[in-house]
Amino acid sequence: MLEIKHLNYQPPQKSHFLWQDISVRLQTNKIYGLVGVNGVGKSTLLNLLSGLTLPSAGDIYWQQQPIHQSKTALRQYLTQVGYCLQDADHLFFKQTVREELEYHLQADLQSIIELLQLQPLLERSPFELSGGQKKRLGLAIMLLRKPQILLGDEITAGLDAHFQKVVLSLLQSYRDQHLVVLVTHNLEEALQMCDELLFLDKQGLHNYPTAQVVQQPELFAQFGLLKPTSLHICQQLIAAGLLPAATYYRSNKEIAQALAAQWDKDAHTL
Amino acid sequence: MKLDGRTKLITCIFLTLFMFSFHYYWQYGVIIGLFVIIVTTTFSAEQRQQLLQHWKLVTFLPSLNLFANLFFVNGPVLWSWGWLHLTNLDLQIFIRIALLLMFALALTIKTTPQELALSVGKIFHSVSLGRYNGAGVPLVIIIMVAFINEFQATFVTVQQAYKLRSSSSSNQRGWQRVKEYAFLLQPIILISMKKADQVADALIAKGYHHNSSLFDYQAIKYHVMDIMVYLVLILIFVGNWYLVKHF
Repeated sequence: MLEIKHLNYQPPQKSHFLWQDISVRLQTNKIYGLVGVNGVGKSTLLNLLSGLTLPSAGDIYWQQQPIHQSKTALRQYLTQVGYCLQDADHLFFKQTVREELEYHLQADLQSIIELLQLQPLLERSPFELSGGQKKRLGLAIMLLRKPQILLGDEITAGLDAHFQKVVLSLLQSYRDQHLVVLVTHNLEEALQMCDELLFLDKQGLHNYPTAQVVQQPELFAQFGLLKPTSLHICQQLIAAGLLPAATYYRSNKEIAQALAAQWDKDAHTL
Repeated sequence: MKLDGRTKLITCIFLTLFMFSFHYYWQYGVIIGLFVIIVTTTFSAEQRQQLLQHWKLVTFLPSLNLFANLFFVNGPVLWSWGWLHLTNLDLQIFIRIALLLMFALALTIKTTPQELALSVGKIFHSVSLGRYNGAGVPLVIIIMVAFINEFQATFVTVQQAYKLRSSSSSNQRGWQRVKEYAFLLQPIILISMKKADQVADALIAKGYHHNSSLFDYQAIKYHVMDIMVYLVLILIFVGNWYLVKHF
């Protein structure tokens, strides 16, 4: 379990803390979606969770041990963390993609290469890759480390639809016995694959199970976010009587399936 | 009233060059005292914190230089141990490099890249008696500063990312880590150059290019505060000459 207790951060050259207070417990076997308006500190929070940035107040506890208690504790914690940075360039320091991957010698290297289709890129310099290719390489590198905690900052940004699906599927299977925290601006994606949403604002971090968020879409407006289109469509269809009341769907696919089921049930009428 | 960018730049250059003419430690003391007064009275608390948090950067290079100089005899020896010899000049060079870095850091804290770029352009304009009206020199300064700023930021992030990736490679030997650490410079420089390239593209997209006359150098004028600063610098120079000559 990852526990955050009274965490806060004061950026350099600023005279105030970013938030009032952050305290939350994150469990393994879950994917958490960290959402919030621009500039609220989502990437900063992820940097703090990764252990690479020292908090100005509070601490992070992994398996009930504070990670900043000592250099040994921090080093131990870092071996458990995988962090896909928003700017994937900063992760690379080898001459070729192959060398980057082989730096973390793992038996399942070939399967990761095939899954993320990195085969054609192996002999290229990681700095020559496109944005989406760098993201895939960054994710591959982190997955090869087999971290207990996987952090991702806009992990699907810049990926085409096919690889977005591949990455989301990978993360969902990785959730087993691991903790995954993703920063995303794509609320549709967050609803679809996250077990809980962490809404970040100046007051702190507020976590809600996704099932609850779907039932209370006004939560998005409360945190300055626009309601996802799928929730909006669902509400419209329920209001029009095309879907049963008090039904909740996390994606357009689920809505379409519900409509199809309704169509079949009502003998091809709506 | 804010000082002109030229005044800040010229003050930094003057103090640096002036310092390299010193022979006595009390002269360094005077300059350091003056610098402390400037920082205390004209820098905000955040700016002072910014200056102090780079103490490692400011002392690293002079320390490296001092260590290298210990293997040579550069004048009268103050202390020696085996092959290592510390001389008066070694100490003075250490102080000079550290102060040079401090002055440059203070200048970048108090002056924006655009202000610095315009100052250099205006100096060229003045020195060429109004004939130079181009944007090439300021643009080069802006791009260089973008590179330096990006280098500083990327240095930290790349180091952190390496710490994360190498944390589980505990079976690597120490020298392997040191070698990899040295090779981190390559991605840092590449990323910084890419950023500088993006800044160059952005400037061109906005209409700034070396032949454009989008900078109005005529409008840049000195104020009373700038004249007073120059007078103080002249006083310092004359005072130093007098004290060295008579005492």
